[in-house]
Amino acid sequence: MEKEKIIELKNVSKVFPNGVIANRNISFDIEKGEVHAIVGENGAGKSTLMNTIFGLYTPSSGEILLRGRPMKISTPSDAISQGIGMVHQHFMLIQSFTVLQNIILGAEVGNKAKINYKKARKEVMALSESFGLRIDPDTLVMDISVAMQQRVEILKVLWRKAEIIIFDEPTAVLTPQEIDEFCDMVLRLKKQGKTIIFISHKLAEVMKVSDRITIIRRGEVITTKNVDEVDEKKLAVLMVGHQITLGGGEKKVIESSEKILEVEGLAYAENGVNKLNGVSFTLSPGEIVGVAGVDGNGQDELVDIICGKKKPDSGKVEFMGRDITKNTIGEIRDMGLATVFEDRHKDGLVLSFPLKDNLILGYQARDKYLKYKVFRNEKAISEDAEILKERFDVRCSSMEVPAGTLSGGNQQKLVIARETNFSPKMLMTVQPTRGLDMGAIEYVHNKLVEHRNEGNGVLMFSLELDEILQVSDRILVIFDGKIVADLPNKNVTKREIGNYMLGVTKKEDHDSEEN
Amino acid sequence: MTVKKTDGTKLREGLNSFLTSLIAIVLAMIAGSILISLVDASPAAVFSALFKGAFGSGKSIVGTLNRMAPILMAGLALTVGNSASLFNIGFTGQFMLGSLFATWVGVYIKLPAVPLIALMLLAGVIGSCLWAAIPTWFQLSRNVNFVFSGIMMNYIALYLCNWLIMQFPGYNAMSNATPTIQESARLPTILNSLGGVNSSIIIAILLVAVSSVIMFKTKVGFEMRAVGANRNAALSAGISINKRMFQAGLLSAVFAGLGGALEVMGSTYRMQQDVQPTYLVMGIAVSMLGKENPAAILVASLLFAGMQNGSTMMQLKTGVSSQFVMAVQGMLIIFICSENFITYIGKKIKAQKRMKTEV
Repeated sequence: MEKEKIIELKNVSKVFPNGVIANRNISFDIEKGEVHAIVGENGAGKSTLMNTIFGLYTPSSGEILLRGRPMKISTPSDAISQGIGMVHQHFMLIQSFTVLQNIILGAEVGNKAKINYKKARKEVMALSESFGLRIDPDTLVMDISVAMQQRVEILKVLWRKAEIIIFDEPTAVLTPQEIDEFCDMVLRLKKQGKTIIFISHKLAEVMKVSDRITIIRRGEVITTKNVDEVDEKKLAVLMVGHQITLGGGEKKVIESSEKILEVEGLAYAENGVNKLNGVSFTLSPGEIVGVAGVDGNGQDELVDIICGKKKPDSGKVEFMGRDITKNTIGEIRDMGLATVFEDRHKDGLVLSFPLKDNLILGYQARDKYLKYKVFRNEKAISEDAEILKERFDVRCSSMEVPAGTLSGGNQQKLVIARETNFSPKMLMTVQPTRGLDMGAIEYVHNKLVEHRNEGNGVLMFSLELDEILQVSDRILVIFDGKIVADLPNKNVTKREIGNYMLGVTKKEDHDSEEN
Repeated sequence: MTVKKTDGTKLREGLNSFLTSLIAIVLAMIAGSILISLVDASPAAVFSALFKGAFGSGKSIVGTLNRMAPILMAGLALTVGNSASLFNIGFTGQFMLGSLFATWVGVYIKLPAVPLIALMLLAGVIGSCLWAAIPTWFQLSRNVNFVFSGIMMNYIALYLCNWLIMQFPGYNAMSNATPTIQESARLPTILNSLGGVNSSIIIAILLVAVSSVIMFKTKVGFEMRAVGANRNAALSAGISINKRMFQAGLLSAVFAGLGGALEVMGSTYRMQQDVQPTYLVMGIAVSMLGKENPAAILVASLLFAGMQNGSTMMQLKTGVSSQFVMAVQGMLIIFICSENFITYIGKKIKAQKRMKTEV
């Protein structure tokens, strides 16, 4: 049986005024009632494509048919009136409004002057019942979890009677359990006859919920596959264009008895709460030590103390045999301990500065970049920028563009390029692949291992267990401000680490009541 | 050898911010026109009189240029502070102390012209920096908000100057002013055939170049701008936030002090009691219009100087009070602040056009 094509794209291209071709000759169709995933790396043009379908962008050429007729949409409200709704990656909710108010906002019931809350509540509750999306209508949005906020966003779209729902990276912000719930929800929506377009680069979920998958690479459609024709591995290869191996590749054996970093009995309290309770560990040359742990068990404080942002209440940090506990961030970096911070927008980059300026941030006082000790050496700065751009494959039109215009993966490349440029003896990375796609993750892992193979130490904090297991030589588990496990990465299972992470230590074998 | 590549990015950005500024000016004129209509005058007549008074003849251009230097200095001082996200509202007090110190040197130190002028500039800088150091210190060590203390310091400066002016030997009780500075302390005039422009404008323009070099071509400037653009990233990069903000504050004060000294050497030749300069507001507007771009700062201060200078002729010819110019300046600030609003309108218009071409 031939299914009805609800959206058809014919040779759609989108060229931005600055000459960037985001989409090139995109052709595929979406059938009524299917879950259609669109996968691709960051910067492959997925979001541009969705914004084109949603009416935020006009295609430069080609046409889009909606229910067989040329689509005429120029604003999101046009799209909504035609039954297309979008759940954005960054939620568009008003924090100080209740769930109910957020859902009906812009499509209120009642007359012009007054909102009929009673009627609205009844209808919204009926809607949420019918889709099995339970909510508490009177809670403020600021008080509910991220997964709940997403549910509110979905109800907002359903409230506006959307038949086609576009999800932009819906699972990026969810925990594993929430992701499972999300997948169930998508399948329920499908059962009720909705058409779902699902943009993601997380392949596990894509495989779980989709009927068909369209793969986009560098602005072009590579192919559209039925879900039973592919598996995760094949998808990854199609998406990136080559075989992916995470974990960074071959690790050279480096024997050394010296220690790069020695942390001894660190204790730190903030507002009367003990964040670190005697943390001790070491890092040797040619070693990647992965620090695993549930978020908020003292990782942030440990990072801040090692890099020099915070001072511990007791204990000390020794780097290359020198006590650095009292040194400033700048001094510590100059000694050869570089840090790639978790939040590249907050700590890593000045988004309004050009790329080349970001590449010297933190290193602007090096002789290499200065003339007469005072003036910027523009020539050296530009030359280095070009070299790093080539070596780290930073995709950009020029090194003069602001860092904010780059995709997440390219921004992270920029930060890593900068922090490894002066070959620091130790590299500390915090969530180095957060928000990156497969190709970029592979790249980051390679760079970490490369740095390790040069005889340096890498300390990697990560919330992703897979990553810890793939990359580390040795694994530390931090729980409640203490290192509860220090294991070589041999025959260690995810489950074992998971138990340590939750404080269910093997030897004592007790269940922690507070988790 | 490196080949210089043409790079459209900077140019386009520059053009965009130029357009928004231009639109803000046009909107301020429209709002001004409405105001004029309310008092039953003709907007066209008022604006043309204003323009003629500002740039219409050689004489009016000379007048405009004579008013430009302190506005330009205020714009520079505010811009330098802003780039490290430090709002130097204490400019007025610093400017006054700069003037006072320079006046003292200009009246009493007997030196030939060149060293005397250099010494006066230095005195202006010292006076201003001493004054700025107080609120800056309070901010950094005691967390007293720089903006509030800056406002208060402006009042203190006014009364302190009133008192100090009286302490000058030779205080002129008739005009409530210090004695005038020596001939050798006065800046020579240029364009004398048109009525004479005092050369402080040349020094001010040179200082625009100097500030631009400091902010964009030195390490310290880079770090200051990093602090202003992303304080967290600057901190993570090991930049000392307090130190750089303190330096940005002092640099801003240096320009304020130079402005004060130039005013004395170029136009007033003495300091009067109870006169508080009003360049702060114009400086804010100039730095907002200029957006760290030296050429734009020059154009913006020329515009404001023109408005000041043209207002007299406007009042004479049309009867609209010269205060009207201040209303236009105020609206200009409002519209520059509404930059987001202007971009939003721009997008709307584009979307409308798109609709039309598609239908």
